[in-house]
Amino acid sequence: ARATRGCSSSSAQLLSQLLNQANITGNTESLMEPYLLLQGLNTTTLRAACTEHPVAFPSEDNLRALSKPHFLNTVHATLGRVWHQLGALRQQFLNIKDFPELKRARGNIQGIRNNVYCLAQLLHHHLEIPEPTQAGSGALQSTTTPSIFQAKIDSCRFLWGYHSFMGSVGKVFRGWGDGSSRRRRHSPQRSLLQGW
Amino acid sequence: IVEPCGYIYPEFPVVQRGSNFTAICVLKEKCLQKYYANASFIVWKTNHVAVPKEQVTVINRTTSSVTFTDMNLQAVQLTCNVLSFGQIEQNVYGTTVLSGFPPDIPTNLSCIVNEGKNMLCQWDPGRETYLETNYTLKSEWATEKFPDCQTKHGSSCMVSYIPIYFVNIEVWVEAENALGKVSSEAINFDPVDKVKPSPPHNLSVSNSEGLSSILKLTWINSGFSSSLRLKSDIQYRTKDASTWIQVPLEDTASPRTSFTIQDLKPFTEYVFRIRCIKEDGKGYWSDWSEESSGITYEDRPSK
Repeated sequence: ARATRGCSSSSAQLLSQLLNQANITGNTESLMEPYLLLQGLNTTTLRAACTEHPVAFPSEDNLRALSKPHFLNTVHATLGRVWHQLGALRQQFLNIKDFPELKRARGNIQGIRNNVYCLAQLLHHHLEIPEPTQAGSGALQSTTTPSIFQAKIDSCRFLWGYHSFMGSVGKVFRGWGDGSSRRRRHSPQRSLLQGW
Repeated sequence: IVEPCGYIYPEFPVVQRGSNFTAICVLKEKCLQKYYANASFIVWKTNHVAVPKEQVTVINRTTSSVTFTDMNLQAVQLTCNVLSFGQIEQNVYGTTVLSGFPPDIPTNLSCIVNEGKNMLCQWDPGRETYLETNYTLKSEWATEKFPDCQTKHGSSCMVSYIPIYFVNIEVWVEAENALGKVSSEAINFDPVDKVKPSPPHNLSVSNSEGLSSILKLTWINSGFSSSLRLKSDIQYRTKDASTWIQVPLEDTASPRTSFTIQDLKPFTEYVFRIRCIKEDGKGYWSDWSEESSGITYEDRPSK
Protein backbone atom coordinates (compact mmCIF):
# COMPACT_ATOMS: atom_id res chain seq x y z
CA ALA A 1 0.00 0.00 0.00
CA ARG A 2 1.33 3.49 -0.86
CA ALA A 3 2.26 5.49 2.23
CA THR A 4 0.51 8.73 3.08
CA ARG A 5 2.96 11.65 3.03
CA GLY A 6 4.86 11.74 6.29
CA CYS A 7 3.96 8.17 7.20
CA SER A 8 6.31 5.26 7.25
CA SER A 9 5.52 2.93 4.38
CA SER A 10 6.19 -0.17 6.45
CA SER A 11 3.50 -1.61 8.70
CA ALA A 12 6.22 -3.60 10.46
CA GLN A 13 8.08 -0.38 11.32
CA LEU A 14 4.85 1.28 12.43
CA LEU A 15 4.05 -1.64 14.68
CA SER A 16 7.56 -1.59 16.13
CA GLN A 17 7.24 2.16 16.76
CA LEU A 18 3.83 1.68 18.42
CA LEU A 19 5.27 -1.01 20.68
CA ASN A 20 8.11 1.28 21.73
CA GLN A 21 5.65 4.10 22.34
CA ALA A 22 3.36 1.83 24.37
CA ASN A 23 6.38 0.81 26.45
CA ILE A 24 7.22 4.41 27.22
CA THR A 25 3.69 5.62 27.88
CA GLY A 26 2.72 2.51 29.82
CA ASN A 27 5.52 3.24 32.27
CA THR A 28 4.27 5.25 35.26
CA GLU A 29 7.74 6.82 35.54
CA SER A 30 6.94 8.79 32.40
CA LEU A 31 4.10 10.81 33.97
CA MET A 32 2.28 9.59 37.09
CA GLU A 33 5.31 9.17 39.35
CA PRO A 34 6.64 12.68 38.74
CA TYR A 35 3.06 13.96 39.19
CA LEU A 36 2.75 12.22 42.56
CA LEU A 37 6.01 13.79 43.71
CA LEU A 38 5.13 17.25 42.48
CA GLN A 39 1.66 17.18 44.04
CA GLY A 40 2.75 15.75 47.37
CA LEU A 41 0.79 12.54 46.89
CA ASN A 42 3.76 10.24 47.37
CA THR A 43 2.55 8.46 50.52
CA THR A 44 1.25 4.90 50.80
CA THR A 45 -2.24 6.05 51.72
CA LEU A 46 -2.56 8.65 49.00
CA ARG A 47 -0.98 6.33 46.45
CA ALA A 48 -3.61 3.71 47.33
CA ALA A 49 -6.39 6.29 47.01
CA CYS A 50 -5.08 6.94 43.55
CA THR A 51 -4.53 3.44 42.24
CA GLU A 52 -7.47 1.67 43.82
CA HIS A 53 -10.10 3.65 41.91
CA PRO A 54 -8.59 4.39 38.51
CA VAL A 55 -10.64 6.31 35.98
CA ALA A 56 -12.27 3.76 33.71
CA PHE A 57 -10.45 3.16 30.44
CA PRO A 58 -11.22 0.35 27.99
CA SER A 59 -9.84 -2.84 29.54
CA GLU A 60 -7.36 -5.16 27.87
CA ASP A 61 -10.06 -7.81 27.39
CA ASN A 62 -12.38 -5.30 25.78
CA LEU A 63 -9.58 -4.10 23.53
CA ARG A 64 -8.65 -7.65 22.49
CA ALA A 65 -12.25 -8.35 21.63
CA LEU A 66 -12.36 -5.52 19.10
CA SER A 67 -11.68 -5.95 15.41
CA LYS A 68 -8.43 -4.36 14.28
CA PRO A 69 -10.07 -1.35 12.67
CA HIS A 70 -12.26 -0.82 15.75
CA PHE A 71 -9.23 -1.23 18.00
CA LEU A 72 -7.32 1.45 16.08
CA ASN A 73 -10.37 3.72 16.27
CA THR A 74 -10.69 3.21 20.02
CA VAL A 75 -7.01 3.92 20.67
CA HIS A 76 -7.06 7.00 18.45
CA ALA A 77 -10.25 8.40 20.00
CA THR A 78 -9.34 7.59 23.61
CA LEU A 79 -5.93 9.18 23.28
CA GLY A 80 -7.56 12.24 21.75
CA ARG A 81 -9.49 12.67 24.97
CA VAL A 82 -6.41 11.95 27.08
CA TRP A 83 -4.51 14.63 25.16
CA HIS A 84 -7.17 17.21 25.97
CA GLN A 85 -7.40 16.03 29.58
CA LEU A 86 -3.65 16.44 30.00
CA GLY A 87 -4.01 19.90 28.52
CA ALA A 88 -6.43 20.74 31.31
CA LEU A 89 -3.98 19.31 33.86
CA ARG A 90 -1.57 22.14 33.08
CA GLN A 91 -3.79 24.54 35.02
CA GLN A 92 -2.76 22.80 38.23
CA PHE A 93 0.76 24.20 37.83
CA LEU A 94 1.82 27.81 38.22
CA ASN A 95 4.86 27.12 36.05
CA ILE A 96 4.51 24.24 33.67
CA LYS A 97 8.29 24.08 33.37
CA ASP A 98 8.16 22.36 36.74
CA PHE A 99 6.49 19.40 35.04
CA PRO A 100 8.32 18.85 31.70
CA GLU A 101 7.07 15.28 31.58
CA LEU A 102 3.57 16.57 30.83
CA LYS A 103 4.63 18.27 27.61
CA ARG A 104 6.63 15.21 26.60
CA ALA A 105 3.67 12.94 27.34
CA ARG A 106 1.33 15.05 25.21
CA GLY A 107 3.90 14.93 22.39
CA ASN A 108 4.14 11.16 22.69
CA ILE A 109 0.36 10.85 22.65
CA GLN A 110 0.11 12.86 19.46
CA GLY A 111 2.89 10.66 18.08
CA ILE A 112 0.96 7.49 18.87
CA ARG A 113 -2.19 8.92 17.29
CA ASN A 114 -0.14 9.80 14.21
CA ASN A 115 1.20 6.26 13.97
CA VAL A 116 -2.28 4.81 14.47
CA TYR A 117 -3.52 7.08 11.69
CA CYS A 118 -0.65 5.94 9.42
CA LEU A 119 -1.31 2.28 10.19
CA ALA A 120 -4.99 2.71 9.43
CA GLN A 121 -4.13 4.51 6.17
CA LEU A 122 -1.76 1.69 5.15
CA LEU A 123 -4.63 -0.73 5.69
CA HIS A 124 -7.18 1.42 3.86
CA HIS A 125 -9.16 2.07 7.02
CA HIS A 126 -10.67 5.47 7.74
CA LEU A 127 -10.44 6.51 11.37
CA GLU A 128 -13.86 7.74 12.59
CA ILE A 129 -14.33 11.11 14.35
CA PRO A 130 -14.57 10.32 18.08
CA GLU A 131 -18.06 10.05 19.56
CA PRO A 132 -19.09 12.36 22.41
CA THR A 133 -17.49 11.45 25.72
CA GLN A 134 -18.95 8.31 27.31
CA ALA A 135 -18.42 6.61 30.62
CA GLY A 136 -15.56 4.14 30.54
CA SER A 137 -13.88 6.04 27.79
CA GLY A 138 -11.11 7.52 29.87
CA ALA A 139 -12.76 10.84 30.61
CA LEU A 140 -12.96 12.42 34.02
CA GLN A 141 -16.66 12.54 34.99
CA SER A 142 -17.22 15.33 37.51
CA THR A 143 -20.41 17.32 37.90
CA THR A 144 -19.42 19.48 40.92
CA THR A 145 -16.22 21.59 41.29
CA PRO A 146 -13.91 19.33 43.34
CA SER A 147 -11.62 20.67 46.04
CA ILE A 148 -7.98 21.15 45.07
CA PHE A 149 -7.05 18.02 46.95
CA GLN A 150 -9.83 16.02 45.31
CA ALA A 151 -8.83 17.40 41.92
CA LYS A 152 -5.30 16.09 42.51
CA ILE A 153 -6.59 12.66 43.48
CA ASP A 154 -8.91 12.59 40.49
CA SER A 155 -6.04 13.57 38.20
CA CYS A 156 -3.84 10.90 39.70
CA ARG A 157 -6.55 8.28 39.16
CA PHE A 158 -6.83 9.49 35.59
CA LEU A 159 -3.07 9.12 35.03
CA TRP A 160 -3.08 5.67 36.58
CA GLY A 161 -5.92 4.68 34.25
CA TYR A 162 -4.05 6.14 31.29
CA HIS A 163 -0.83 4.22 32.04
CA SER A 164 -2.79 1.00 32.50
CA PHE A 165 -4.64 1.63 29.24
CA MET A 166 -1.34 2.08 27.38
CA GLY A 167 -0.04 -1.11 28.95
CA SER A 168 -3.06 -2.94 27.57
CA VAL A 169 -2.67 -1.31 24.16
CA GLY A 170 0.95 -2.48 24.08
CA LYS A 171 -0.07 -6.06 24.84
CA VAL A 172 -2.67 -6.06 22.08
CA PHE A 173 -0.19 -4.65 19.57
CA ARG A 174 2.36 -7.23 20.70
CA GLY A 175 -0.24 -9.88 19.90
CA TRP A 176 -0.51 -8.47 16.40
CA GLY A 177 3.24 -8.75 15.96
CA ASP A 178 3.41 -12.31 17.36
CA GLY A 179 0.47 -13.43 15.19
CA SER A 180 2.12 -12.22 12.05
CA SER A 181 5.52 -13.69 12.87
CA ARG A 182 3.87 -17.08 13.42
CA ARG A 183 2.15 -16.70 10.03
CA ARG A 184 5.45 -15.67 8.42
CA ARG A 185 7.07 -18.94 9.62
CA HIS A 186 4.38 -21.20 8.18
CA SER A 187 3.42 -19.42 5.04
CA PRO A 188 4.94 -17.29 2.36
CA GLN A 189 5.68 -13.65 3.30
CA ARG A 190 2.21 -12.28 4.22
CA SER A 191 1.13 -8.85 5.29
CA LEU A 192 1.99 -8.28 8.96
CA LEU A 193 -1.67 -7.50 9.60
CA GLN A 194 -3.30 -10.52 7.94
CA GLY A 195 -6.99 -10.98 8.75
CA TRP A 196 -7.63 -7.21 8.59
CA ILE B 1 9.18 66.49 0.48
CA VAL B 2 10.46 67.27 -2.98
CA GLU B 3 8.59 65.28 -5.62
CA PRO B 4 11.06 63.55 -7.98
CA CYS B 5 11.06 64.75 -11.58
CA GLY B 6 10.90 61.24 -12.88
CA TYR B 7 11.18 57.58 -12.03
CA ILE B 8 13.29 54.61 -12.97
CA TYR B 9 11.51 51.40 -13.83
CA PRO B 10 11.80 48.72 -12.63
CA GLU B 11 12.19 50.36 -9.27
CA PHE B 12 14.07 47.70 -7.28
CA PRO B 13 15.54 45.52 -9.99
CA VAL B 14 17.08 42.14 -9.19
CA VAL B 15 18.80 40.68 -12.21
CA GLN B 16 20.22 37.25 -12.90
CA ARG B 17 23.96 37.46 -13.30
CA GLY B 18 25.21 37.30 -16.82
CA SER B 19 21.87 38.29 -18.31
CA ASN B 20 20.88 41.50 -20.07
CA PHE B 21 19.04 44.26 -18.21
CA THR B 22 17.19 47.30 -19.44
CA ALA B 23 15.82 50.15 -17.33
CA ILE B 24 13.86 53.19 -18.38
CA CYS B 25 13.67 56.65 -16.91
CA VAL B 26 10.43 58.58 -17.44
CA LEU B 27 10.48 62.36 -16.88
CA LYS B 28 7.40 64.26 -15.71
CA GLU B 29 5.95 66.80 -18.15
CA LYS B 30 6.15 69.67 -15.69
CA CYS B 31 9.85 69.04 -15.29
CA LEU B 32 10.49 69.22 -19.01
CA GLN B 33 9.46 72.84 -18.96
CA LYS B 34 11.00 73.59 -15.60
CA TYR B 35 14.44 72.36 -16.75
CA TYR B 36 14.13 73.21 -20.45
CA ALA B 37 15.02 69.60 -21.04
CA ASN B 38 13.71 66.33 -22.49
CA ALA B 39 14.71 62.67 -22.52
CA SER B 40 17.61 63.29 -24.86
CA PHE B 41 19.26 65.33 -22.09
CA ILE B 42 19.21 62.30 -19.72
CA VAL B 43 22.59 61.09 -18.48
CA TRP B 44 22.61 57.60 -16.98
CA LYS B 45 25.27 56.78 -14.38
CA THR B 46 26.35 53.58 -12.64
CA ASN B 47 28.20 54.12 -9.38
CA HIS B 48 28.55 57.78 -10.34
CA VAL B 49 30.20 56.98 -13.67
CA ALA B 50 28.41 57.95 -16.90
CA VAL B 51 27.10 55.05 -18.98
CA PRO B 52 28.41 55.05 -22.58
CA LYS B 53 25.94 56.60 -25.01
CA GLU B 54 25.82 53.37 -27.08
CA GLN B 55 23.85 51.76 -24.26
CA VAL B 56 21.30 54.58 -24.11
CA THR B 57 18.18 54.90 -26.28
CA VAL B 58 15.78 57.88 -26.32
CA ILE B 59 12.34 56.32 -26.63
CA ASN B 60 10.28 59.53 -26.70
CA ARG B 61 10.22 63.08 -25.26
CA THR B 62 9.94 61.85 -21.71
CA THR B 63 11.56 58.43 -21.76
CA SER B 64 15.10 57.13 -22.09
CA SER B 65 16.29 53.58 -21.69
CA VAL B 66 19.65 52.08 -20.78
CA THR B 67 20.73 48.49 -21.44
CA PHE B 68 23.41 46.45 -19.75
CA THR B 69 24.63 43.11 -21.14
CA ASP B 70 26.25 40.41 -19.02
CA MET B 71 25.26 42.06 -15.72
CA ASN B 72 27.58 40.70 -13.04
CA LEU B 73 28.19 43.37 -10.44
CA GLN B 74 26.62 42.46 -7.07
CA ALA B 75 25.05 45.89 -6.46
CA VAL B 76 25.07 48.86 -8.81
CA GLN B 77 23.89 52.39 -7.98
CA LEU B 78 21.95 53.36 -11.13
CA THR B 79 20.96 57.03 -11.43
CA CYS B 80 18.96 58.98 -14.00
CA ASN B 81 20.20 62.56 -14.30
CA VAL B 82 19.17 65.37 -16.64
CA LEU B 83 21.18 68.25 -18.07
CA SER B 84 18.94 71.18 -17.17
CA PHE B 85 19.24 74.13 -19.48
CA GLY B 86 21.48 71.79 -21.47
CA GLN B 87 24.33 71.97 -19.02
CA ILE B 88 23.55 71.73 -15.30
CA GLU B 89 23.32 68.09 -14.26
CA GLN B 90 20.40 67.43 -11.96
CA ASN B 91 19.68 64.03 -10.39
CA VAL B 92 16.18 62.82 -11.25
CA TYR B 93 16.03 59.42 -9.63
CA GLY B 94 18.22 56.59 -8.37
CA THR B 95 17.96 52.92 -7.51
CA THR B 96 20.14 49.93 -6.73
CA VAL B 97 20.40 47.10 -9.20
CA LEU B 98 21.13 43.81 -7.49
CA SER B 99 22.38 40.85 -9.46
CA GLY B 100 22.69 37.26 -8.41
CA PHE B 101 21.30 33.79 -8.96
CA PRO B 102 18.08 32.02 -8.10
CA PRO B 103 18.65 29.47 -5.32
CA ASP B 104 19.85 25.98 -6.24
CA ILE B 105 17.77 23.02 -5.07
CA PRO B 106 19.18 22.21 -1.62
CA THR B 107 20.74 18.73 -1.51
CA ASN B 108 22.25 16.29 1.01
CA LEU B 109 19.65 17.16 3.65
CA SER B 110 20.36 15.37 6.93
CA CYS B 111 19.32 15.83 10.53
CA ILE B 112 20.93 15.06 13.86
CA VAL B 113 19.05 14.85 17.14
CA ASN B 114 21.14 15.99 20.05
CA GLU B 115 19.66 13.73 22.69
CA GLY B 116 16.82 15.33 24.59
CA LYS B 117 17.81 18.81 23.48
CA ASN B 118 17.21 19.71 19.88
CA MET B 119 17.32 18.65 16.26
CA LEU B 120 19.71 20.29 13.84
CA CYS B 121 19.21 19.80 10.10
CA GLN B 122 21.91 20.59 7.54
CA TRP B 123 21.95 20.73 3.76
CA ASP B 124 24.06 21.80 0.84
CA PRO B 125 22.59 25.08 -0.53
CA GLY B 126 24.49 24.86 -3.80
CA ARG B 127 26.17 27.87 -5.41
CA GLU B 128 26.35 31.32 -3.83
CA THR B 129 23.33 33.41 -4.86
CA TYR B 130 24.74 36.87 -4.02
CA LEU B 131 21.21 37.78 -2.98
CA GLU B 132 19.35 37.68 0.32
CA THR B 133 17.99 34.13 0.24
CA ASN B 134 15.58 32.72 2.83
CA TYR B 135 15.82 29.04 3.71
CA THR B 136 12.85 27.44 5.46
CA LEU B 137 13.10 24.00 7.00
CA LYS B 138 9.68 22.38 6.90
CA SER B 139 8.78 19.38 9.02
CA GLU B 140 5.57 17.47 9.50
CA TRP B 141 3.95 14.25 10.52
CA ALA B 142 1.08 12.89 8.50
CA THR B 143 -1.25 14.44 11.03
CA GLU B 144 0.61 17.48 12.30
CA LYS B 145 2.75 20.33 10.97
CA PHE B 146 5.59 21.64 13.08
CA PRO B 147 6.79 25.25 13.27
CA ASP B 148 8.95 26.30 10.30
CA CYS B 149 12.64 26.83 10.97
CA GLN B 150 13.94 29.86 9.06
CA THR B 151 17.50 30.97 8.38
CA LYS B 152 19.26 33.35 6.02
CA HIS B 153 22.70 31.73 6.10
CA GLY B 154 21.49 28.80 4.12
CA SER B 155 23.03 25.56 5.33
CA SER B 156 21.54 24.57 8.69
CA CYS B 157 18.65 25.20 11.05
CA MET B 158 17.88 24.06 14.61
CA VAL B 159 14.18 23.35 15.10
CA SER B 160 12.38 24.92 18.04
CA TYR B 161 10.72 21.75 19.27
CA ILE B 162 12.05 18.56 20.84
CA PRO B 163 11.49 15.77 18.29
CA ILE B 164 9.34 12.85 19.37
CA TYR B 165 10.88 9.40 19.04
CA PHE B 166 9.17 6.48 17.25
CA VAL B 167 7.19 8.69 14.89
CA ASN B 168 8.33 9.14 11.31
CA ILE B 169 8.73 12.77 10.36
CA GLU B 170 9.00 14.28 6.89
CA VAL B 171 11.54 17.10 6.53
CA TRP B 172 12.49 19.25 3.55
CA VAL B 173 14.00 22.65 2.79
CA GLU B 174 12.52 25.51 0.76
CA ALA B 175 14.84 28.20 -0.60
CA GLU B 176 13.56 31.52 -1.94
CA ASN B 177 14.99 34.81 -3.15
CA ALA B 178 13.91 37.51 -5.57
CA LEU B 179 14.81 35.34 -8.55
CA GLY B 180 13.06 32.12 -7.60
CA LYS B 181 11.84 29.53 -5.14
CA VAL B 182 12.84 25.86 -4.97
CA SER B 183 12.29 22.92 -2.67
CA SER B 184 14.58 20.07 -1.73
CA GLU B 185 13.59 16.44 -1.76
CA ALA B 186 11.93 15.39 1.48
CA ILE B 187 13.54 12.91 3.82
CA ASN B 188 11.36 10.68 6.01
CA PHE B 189 12.89 9.26 9.18
CA ASP B 190 12.27 8.35 12.81
CA PRO B 191 14.20 10.83 14.98
CA VAL B 192 15.25 7.95 17.20
CA ASP B 193 17.46 6.80 14.36
CA LYS B 194 19.26 10.17 14.17
CA VAL B 195 20.24 10.56 17.79
CA LYS B 196 23.65 11.64 18.95
CA PRO B 197 23.56 10.55 22.59
CA SER B 198 25.11 12.64 25.32
CA PRO B 199 28.54 11.23 26.19
CA PRO B 200 28.83 8.65 28.96
CA HIS B 201 29.81 10.26 32.28
CA ASN B 202 31.25 9.41 35.69
CA LEU B 203 33.86 7.20 34.00
CA SER B 204 35.92 5.63 36.78
CA VAL B 205 38.91 3.26 36.66
CA SER B 206 39.84 0.78 39.39
CA ASN B 207 42.57 -1.82 39.72
CA SER B 208 42.35 -5.19 41.44
CA GLU B 209 44.69 -6.21 44.20
CA GLY B 210 47.05 -8.90 42.99
CA LEU B 211 45.92 -8.67 39.37
CA SER B 212 48.56 -6.48 37.77
CA SER B 213 47.38 -6.74 34.15
CA ILE B 214 43.78 -5.56 34.42
CA LEU B 215 41.82 -2.40 35.10
CA LYS B 216 38.05 -2.19 35.50
CA LEU B 217 36.02 0.66 34.00
CA THR B 218 32.57 1.73 35.16
CA TRP B 219 30.47 4.58 33.82
CA ILE B 220 26.96 5.95 33.50
CA ASN B 221 25.29 6.00 30.10
CA SER B 222 23.21 8.96 28.96
CA GLY B 223 19.53 9.26 29.79
CA PHE B 224 18.76 8.09 26.28
CA SER B 225 19.73 4.58 27.41
CA SER B 226 16.69 4.39 29.68
CA SER B 227 14.49 3.87 26.64
CA LEU B 228 17.03 2.60 24.15
CA ARG B 229 19.94 0.18 24.04
CA LEU B 230 23.39 1.70 23.44
CA LYS B 231 26.69 0.12 22.52
CA SER B 232 30.06 1.53 23.48
CA ASP B 233 33.45 2.33 22.01
CA ILE B 234 36.38 2.25 24.46
CA GLN B 235 39.90 3.51 23.80
CA TYR B 236 42.92 3.71 26.07
CA ARG B 237 46.59 4.61 26.06
CA THR B 238 49.42 4.72 28.51
CA LYS B 239 49.78 8.10 30.15
CA ASP B 240 52.71 9.16 27.96
CA ALA B 241 51.54 7.67 24.68
CA SER B 242 49.82 9.75 22.01
CA THR B 243 48.03 7.06 20.07
CA TRP B 244 44.91 5.39 21.40
CA ILE B 245 44.47 1.64 21.55
CA GLN B 246 41.04 0.47 20.43
CA VAL B 247 39.05 -2.11 22.36
CA PRO B 248 37.54 -4.29 19.60
CA LEU B 249 34.08 -2.92 18.91
CA GLU B 250 32.61 -6.41 18.89
CA ASP B 251 33.62 -6.74 22.54
CA THR B 252 31.43 -3.77 23.51
CA ALA B 253 28.58 -4.28 21.04
CA SER B 254 25.92 -4.86 23.72
CA PRO B 255 24.63 -2.43 26.33
CA ARG B 256 26.85 -2.24 29.42
CA THR B 257 28.06 0.13 32.12
CA SER B 258 31.34 -1.59 32.93
CA PHE B 259 34.21 -3.34 31.19
CA THR B 260 37.48 -4.95 32.23
CA ILE B 261 40.58 -4.22 30.18
CA GLN B 262 43.13 -7.04 30.18
CA ASP B 263 46.74 -7.66 29.12
CA LEU B 264 47.98 -4.37 30.56
CA LYS B 265 51.46 -3.70 31.85
CA PRO B 266 51.88 -3.88 35.62
CA PHE B 267 52.21 -0.73 37.68
CA THR B 268 51.48 1.52 34.71
CA GLU B 269 49.14 4.51 34.41
CA TYR B 270 46.55 4.25 31.65
CA VAL B 271 44.10 6.86 30.35
CA PHE B 272 40.65 5.82 29.12
CA ARG B 273 37.85 7.39 27.15
CA ILE B 274 34.48 6.06 26.00
CA ARG B 275 31.68 7.03 23.68
CA CYS B 276 28.34 5.43 22.74
CA ILE B 277 25.82 5.03 19.93
CA LYS B 278 22.48 3.30 19.47
CA GLU B 279 22.97 -0.47 19.58
CA ASP B 280 21.86 -0.97 15.97
CA GLY B 281 24.42 1.57 14.83
CA LYS B 282 21.84 4.06 13.60
CA GLY B 283 22.41 7.70 14.46
CA TYR B 284 25.70 9.24 15.51
CA TRP B 285 28.44 8.43 17.98
CA SER B 286 28.31 10.58 21.09
CA ASP B 287 31.25 12.82 21.85
CA TRP B 288 34.01 11.15 23.86
CA SER B 289 33.53 11.08 27.59
CA GLU B 290 35.90 12.94 29.83
CA GLU B 291 39.14 10.98 30.10
CA SER B 292 39.80 9.03 33.25
CA SER B 293 42.98 7.26 34.34
CA GLY B 294 44.08 4.48 36.62
CA ILE B 295 47.24 2.56 37.56
CA THR B 296 47.57 -1.20 37.29
CA TYR B 297 48.58 -3.14 40.40
CA GLU B 298 52.22 -4.00 41.00
CA ASP B 299 53.49 -7.41 39.94
CA ARG B 300 54.13 -9.80 42.89
CA PRO B 301 57.89 -10.05 43.48
CA SER B 302 59.07 -13.46 42.14
CA LYS B 303 60.23 -15.81 44.96
